[in-house]
Amino acid sequence: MPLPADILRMGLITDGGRIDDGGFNQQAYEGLLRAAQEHGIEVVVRQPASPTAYETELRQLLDEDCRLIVTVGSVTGPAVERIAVRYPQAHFIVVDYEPLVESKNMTGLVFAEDQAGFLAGALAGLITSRGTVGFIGGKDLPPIRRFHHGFANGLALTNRQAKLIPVYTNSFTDADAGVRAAQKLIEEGVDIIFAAAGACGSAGLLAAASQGIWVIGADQDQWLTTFQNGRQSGADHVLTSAVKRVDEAVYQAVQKALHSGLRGGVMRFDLANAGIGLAPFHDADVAVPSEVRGKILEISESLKSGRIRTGVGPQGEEIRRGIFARLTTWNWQAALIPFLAIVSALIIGAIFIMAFDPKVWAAFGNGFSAGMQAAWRTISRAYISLFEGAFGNPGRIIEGFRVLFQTGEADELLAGIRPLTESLRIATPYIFAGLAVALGFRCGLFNIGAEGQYFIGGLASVFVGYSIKGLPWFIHLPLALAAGMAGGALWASIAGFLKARTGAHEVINTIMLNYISFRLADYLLQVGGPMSRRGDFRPISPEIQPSAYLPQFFPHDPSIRLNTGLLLALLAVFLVYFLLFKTTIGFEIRAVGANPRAARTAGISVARNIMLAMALSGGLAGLAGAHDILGVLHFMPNAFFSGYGFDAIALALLGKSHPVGVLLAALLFGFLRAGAQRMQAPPALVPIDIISIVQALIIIFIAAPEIIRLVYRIRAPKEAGEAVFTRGWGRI
Amino acid sequence: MAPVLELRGITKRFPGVLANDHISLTVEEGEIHALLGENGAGKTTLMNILYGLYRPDEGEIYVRGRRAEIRQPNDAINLGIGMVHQHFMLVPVFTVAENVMLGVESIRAGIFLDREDAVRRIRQISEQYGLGVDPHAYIKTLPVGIQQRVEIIKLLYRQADILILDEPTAVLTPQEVEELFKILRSLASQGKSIIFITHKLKEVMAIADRITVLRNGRVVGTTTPAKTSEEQLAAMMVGREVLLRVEKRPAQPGEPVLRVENLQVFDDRGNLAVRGVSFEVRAGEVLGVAGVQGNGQTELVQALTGLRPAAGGRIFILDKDMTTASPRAILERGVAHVPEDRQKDGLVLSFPVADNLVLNTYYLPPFAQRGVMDREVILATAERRVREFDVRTPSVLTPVSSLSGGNQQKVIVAREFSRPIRLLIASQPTRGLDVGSIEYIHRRIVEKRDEGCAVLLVSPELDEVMNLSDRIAVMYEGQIQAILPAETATKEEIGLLMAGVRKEEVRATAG
Repeated sequence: MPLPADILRMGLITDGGRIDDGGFNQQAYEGLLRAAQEHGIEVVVRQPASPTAYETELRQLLDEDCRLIVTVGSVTGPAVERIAVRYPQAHFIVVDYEPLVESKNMTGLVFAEDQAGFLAGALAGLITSRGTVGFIGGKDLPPIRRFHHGFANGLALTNRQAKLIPVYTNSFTDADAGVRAAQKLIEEGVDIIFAAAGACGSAGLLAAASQGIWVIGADQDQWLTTFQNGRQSGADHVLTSAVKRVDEAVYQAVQKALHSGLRGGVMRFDLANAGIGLAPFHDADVAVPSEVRGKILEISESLKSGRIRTGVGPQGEEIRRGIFARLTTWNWQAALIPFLAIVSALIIGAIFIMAFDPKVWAAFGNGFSAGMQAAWRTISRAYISLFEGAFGNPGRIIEGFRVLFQTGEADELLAGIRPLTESLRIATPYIFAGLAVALGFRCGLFNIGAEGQYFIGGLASVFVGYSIKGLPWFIHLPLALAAGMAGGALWASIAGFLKARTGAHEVINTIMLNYISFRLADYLLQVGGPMSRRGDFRPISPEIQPSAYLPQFFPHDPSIRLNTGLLLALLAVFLVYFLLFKTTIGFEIRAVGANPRAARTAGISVARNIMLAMALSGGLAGLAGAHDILGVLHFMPNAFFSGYGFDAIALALLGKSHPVGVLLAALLFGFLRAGAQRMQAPPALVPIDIISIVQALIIIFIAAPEIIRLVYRIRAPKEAGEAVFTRGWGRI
Repeated sequence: MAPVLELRGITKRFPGVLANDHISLTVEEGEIHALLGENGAGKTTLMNILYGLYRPDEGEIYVRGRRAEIRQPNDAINLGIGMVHQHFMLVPVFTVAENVMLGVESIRAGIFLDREDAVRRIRQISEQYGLGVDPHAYIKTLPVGIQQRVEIIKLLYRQADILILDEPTAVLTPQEVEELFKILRSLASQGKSIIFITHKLKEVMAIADRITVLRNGRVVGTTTPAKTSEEQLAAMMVGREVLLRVEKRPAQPGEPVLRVENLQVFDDRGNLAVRGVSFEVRAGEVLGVAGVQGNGQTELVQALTGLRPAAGGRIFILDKDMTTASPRAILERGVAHVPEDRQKDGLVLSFPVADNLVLNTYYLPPFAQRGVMDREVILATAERRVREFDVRTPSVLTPVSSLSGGNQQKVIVAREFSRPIRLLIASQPTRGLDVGSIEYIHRRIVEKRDEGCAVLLVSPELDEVMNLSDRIAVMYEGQIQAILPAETATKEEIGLLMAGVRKEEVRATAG
């Protein structure tokens, strides 16, 4: 709203400080005065005695006919917000504050402290010789955080190795605290200190500079203010200051209000509009080499043009971008424990392999070194077999590629990668079943019934597969898959319904339903039973129609059983992920799983989500069964037991109930299972049970990570922020 | 004589923060020494150092004049230092004696537990200090107040003579607090030294011999109740003047928003916990429900919010019968609910702050479109709410479990107050919070009232009810004894009603 031309008075309310404080109050005053003098307008200044007086002072200024009022500091913001709505004819400008409510007559002046901090950090990174620099922050407020994180990221840009030690004094006024903080930092070995903590920080800088530490000021050019035009001792150690041009900002805002009118919101000041920047080097001029100046200028230009960013968000939070940044923030320890669990399990497995080989014992009879050699031979043979059984023989695969390129003949390569395809084939139902259990876990449900749901899914899909004839594959196959899914879902829903309605525990009910499903299959498939194969003496179902087959990847080589079910499993991983973490349904499921009482209080139906999660879980387990019928067996034997349903619990634990984790765990189990089959064949002749032991050990180590931490001396993860943010209440 | 305990220059630094900054403190024999400070002032850190859970970066501890190295809780116990934590560490299915013995079992003939010996000693301790605890009772059957005494017995059983009590009254009813204070006085008079950690000013004034105030990890000062006042202590604690009384204008009640007719509600055991209550709450007024905890307030609130079915009677919200409505239908009718147990009912602790801020609005635009959630909007909104309600959190993605109680409560308040609401049902909204947070939440509630929201405030803290309410309903054994206008009601009158005295008799006594 444009201000009337006859405006006579403008007001300034400080944050309580004086207008000759050498800080923001003085700058704001100077900016306002400059604009006022150009227009011949009177300026009225108030310096409130306490924060409670802001509102009263505002009202008084309004009574005195001030139509434009500038207030200094975020502390004044809330008071202005309350007043501004009641005086729409006046306009308010608040320095360093982003209005929470959009209002047309209140404008906040916001500064990109992160850019100034970034430049200061880049400079510090080029100047530091010890590689350790310090930051003193006042209170944990957005502008200070922007300085802090901008500084940190600028430092990291020019000096990857440099270390930053931040200290927050929780005060802008306590000089003692500033000096103490500086002293601490010096003890820690810093050679540059950047302080953004008002008078508290200035005291710290004075103390540090007088001891020969490089200092960087903030807000104003502190060489001029704190170090009194270089008269204070240590002024020759003021490197520069990260400056906020509050005077310029206020001047620009007032000019705009008087000419074109301000329309509320925020005005942002950054490097590009000269609202912030670095102060001159003054006495430190000689210490800054010209290539450093060049570099800083270059960074400054890049920031202006947006070619590089400070990586600091509007609230001063750190934003990390790109894959590299993601990798550096990735919690490696989360991956470390499973990795070590697998390695440890294989090591222990090796001991078992060795211990059960009579040849090793015999060799030990001929002396220790002979025994160790025999042990090594046995173990290496076993694990080489395991590897080749899981991935194939590398030499053979390379040979296969050579043949392929030379002759275009793929058979050799296919034979080479057959073990790998077998691993993936085994992993496919593991993925479905693991997802099933993981989804249940997310809703706080322990679905032990995946095996039974796998059975029912198999029964339903085989029935649709053989009984319906004459359909094209693109109808028949989806129908059979849907039947498998629906079968599993309905079966699990029995337990889900009982849990939701009566509170009957799903663990008991799913176990019982497992038995019922096994016997149901026995009955249906028995010779002469309703789903048995006519004229066959075995208790098996009829062959399904080819139109219901899951297509093979290599149809001309039936020994490769890998089929397109794998693609469906990968799709399921994505869909479960999307459902759990991107949709409202997933939000509800996870909320019910994490705290059903709070979910219910928030209006989420616990019963509905339990039933839904159980049905989805059963549907996924049913798909595992459908995969084995439609993709691998093409009929159903009554000995359909796979153990997938039970291994799935382990997979969900191993994958931390995350779809991607489950995928990785399923692949691991696929490799182990496929490898174990090769391992029990000559030359290794290791019983397949060894792999069951390895699997069990992996699960034990994952379930009890303390064992791994103890053995490998890994420290338990510490929440670095915890000390700051748990304020004592509710914790020991 | 040397003091029983002396701390000299204790300093503890955590990344980015000085939790304890050169703290020095002495505790005399037989003294009740209150350690007062806001959440985050460093009280608990200091006591954890004393109890051997943390090592100090600097400073020394002297016990009975001797330099002590406390590396682990066992060292503290051997020095006679014992601690009662806020959250009790008791096995619910064990008896008192078994819990007390745990870790220091009396053994007979090598392998058999000597329960009799333990029982005898517990009886003796119980009598000596007036604890009144039955060694054979099962923990799960005991009220919270008695469980706390079991914790005290555990310390005495281990011959502790310096007892640290961390916020011992946070979980107690006013009556239980009185009982606890009696016990503490008895302990002190028999030579035990007590460090009493709290942020409640009234309690400090009532019980402490000396008071040490901490702020931002530093000692602000040590004083005695005789030399100070609540206002002064509050100012020391917070570092500025604090309004202990909420300033509010007289209410301007409008139309009734909530109308309850003859409501009856069963509790979990099938007993009638609410026995036919009728009242209404109007737009722009605060109706406070006072009463000792366990007189049906919890069930009343649950029935009003749809979490517990009504056994009889009707509930009208904005003139619509909502007696059998679902929690969501009630929320969507414009009802905000600040539940009594924020961690169990108000928050999903493992979820980030941002998700908790949309816990009951996640399915509405702009947070979700056609069932797909919009993370960007949710995060951006969370950033604004966190700022607006001054929630102190490292980021909106931080799990709410790692926030302090006060900030957790602010998350709930931010969520509930940011929706368009017509009725606010707040149950113990400031339980366990520090002075600054209490002041803040009270102010927000009054603001809501002034915006024309109807407020039902349920709290066992009589001061809180009297401070905020425009009318006060007193509940006793599932019934409303009386509804009084707040400006004329006196504490004595309400106290008598809370104790079950009938209204006519109260008037007669007062009259």
